[in-house]
Amino acid sequence: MTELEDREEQGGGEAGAQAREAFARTVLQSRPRLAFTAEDLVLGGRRRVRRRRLAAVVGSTASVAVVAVAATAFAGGGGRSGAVVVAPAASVTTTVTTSPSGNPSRPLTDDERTLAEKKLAAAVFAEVLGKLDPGMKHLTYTPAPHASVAFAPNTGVCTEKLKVQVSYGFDAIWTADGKNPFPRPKDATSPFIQVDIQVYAPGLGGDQFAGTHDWGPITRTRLPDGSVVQTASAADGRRLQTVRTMGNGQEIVFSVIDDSVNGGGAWGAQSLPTNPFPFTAAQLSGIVSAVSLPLPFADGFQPRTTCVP
Amino acid sequence: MRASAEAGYKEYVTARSYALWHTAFLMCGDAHQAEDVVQTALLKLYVAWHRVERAENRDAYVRRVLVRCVIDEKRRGWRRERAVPSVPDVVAPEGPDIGERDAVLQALARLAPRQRATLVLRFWEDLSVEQTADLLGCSPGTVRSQTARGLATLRGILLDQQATASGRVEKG
Repeated sequence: MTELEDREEQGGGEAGAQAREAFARTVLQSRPRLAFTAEDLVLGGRRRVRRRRLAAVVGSTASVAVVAVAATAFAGGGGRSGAVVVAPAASVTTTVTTSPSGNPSRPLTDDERTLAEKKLAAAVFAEVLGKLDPGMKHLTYTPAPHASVAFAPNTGVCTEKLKVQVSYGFDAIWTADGKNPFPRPKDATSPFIQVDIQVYAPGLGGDQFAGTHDWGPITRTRLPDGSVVQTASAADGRRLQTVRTMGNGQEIVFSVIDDSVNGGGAWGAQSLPTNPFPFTAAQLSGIVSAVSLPLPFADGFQPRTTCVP
Repeated sequence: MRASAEAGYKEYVTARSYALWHTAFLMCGDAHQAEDVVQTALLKLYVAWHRVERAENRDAYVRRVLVRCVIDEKRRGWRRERAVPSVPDVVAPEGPDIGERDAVLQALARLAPRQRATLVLRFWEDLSVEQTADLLGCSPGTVRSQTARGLATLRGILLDQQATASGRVEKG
């Protein structure tokens, strides 16, 4: 190798200088405004930390489940001819349908059950959002691509390493005029409210009031079916959340957040507050308390997941 | 994370976001993708913040995640996108010369992702051969050869572009 070639590879030669000069030409005089702020990243980071903790819990729970299933199969023979192993509660998702071959006891395939779970979630979302905005005059949302049902769940929360679907979720936007504020110029300040609903698998929801926000007093109500509804507000009532925990540990989490409390950053300028703020903690609590539809994840079935957070 | 640590994290993000974005932008050539990967890298940094207390470790950590994200995105060959009914107007960026800037970006786009990352780390981030090798997970020898080939290719493309622009394309 010549000395010249060696110098070029080390970056000290003429070509290296040209590369430095070329890169310098790409610098903009005015810095582009990035769509995120340090605040956004802190909030996102906190969520990520929470998910990692959740994944650890799911991992240990999954291990226990595997051992339990193996033990059951070992003791009772297991096999495809047997009933579904985990079935602590009745659920429409496991209802057996007549197979094309005429076998009335054919269990649903995992894909069929996964679709049934999504439909259950969609029905819950439709019920809750229909009560929040009767007539759907204010809520807008982006339908999931290739969705075969209305209110098809987004991916919700999942853990990628374990491919476990932790929850199904749905996001919508509430505006006074019912117009979707997106796509949104970075200097737009028109008010809007984020609406989010999640249905968590038994035991995987965790404490939804822990950590991130300065929640006020949490009201707690036990319903006749044994489920418990907890509701709290933050940011002067512009952030509301209600959580209904069922007897088997399933959770419905329903929240509304006026974007003005996020302080801007995620989408650009800080949004103006929605005045008057149209929701109350009691209203959200009442809606979630009234949900009587069967929930997904009821019988311990783990749906197939593409797990793209 | 403790409040004091979180304040330190915010300070770091505020101070370094743009520089990191520019590095990512040079590596991938797409402003939005660059923003995505910087955001991903900084989120991962949040989780690892307690492990990377020293400032130089933070930069190294973020660069490592950045490089991995860019190369992974390139390998994947597609990006998650959300359809919107209309595309918002975008103001042309201000700069010394948009034509020159585009020429450099187009030239970079014709390099292989790892070669491109090598050049950006060596001549934009001014990292040594050894530091670059460590970040890319390869030997210093590979970095040297990638550097030499990348520089030769980049130089050739830029010269071609200049010749084409001035209408002095020589045949043969």
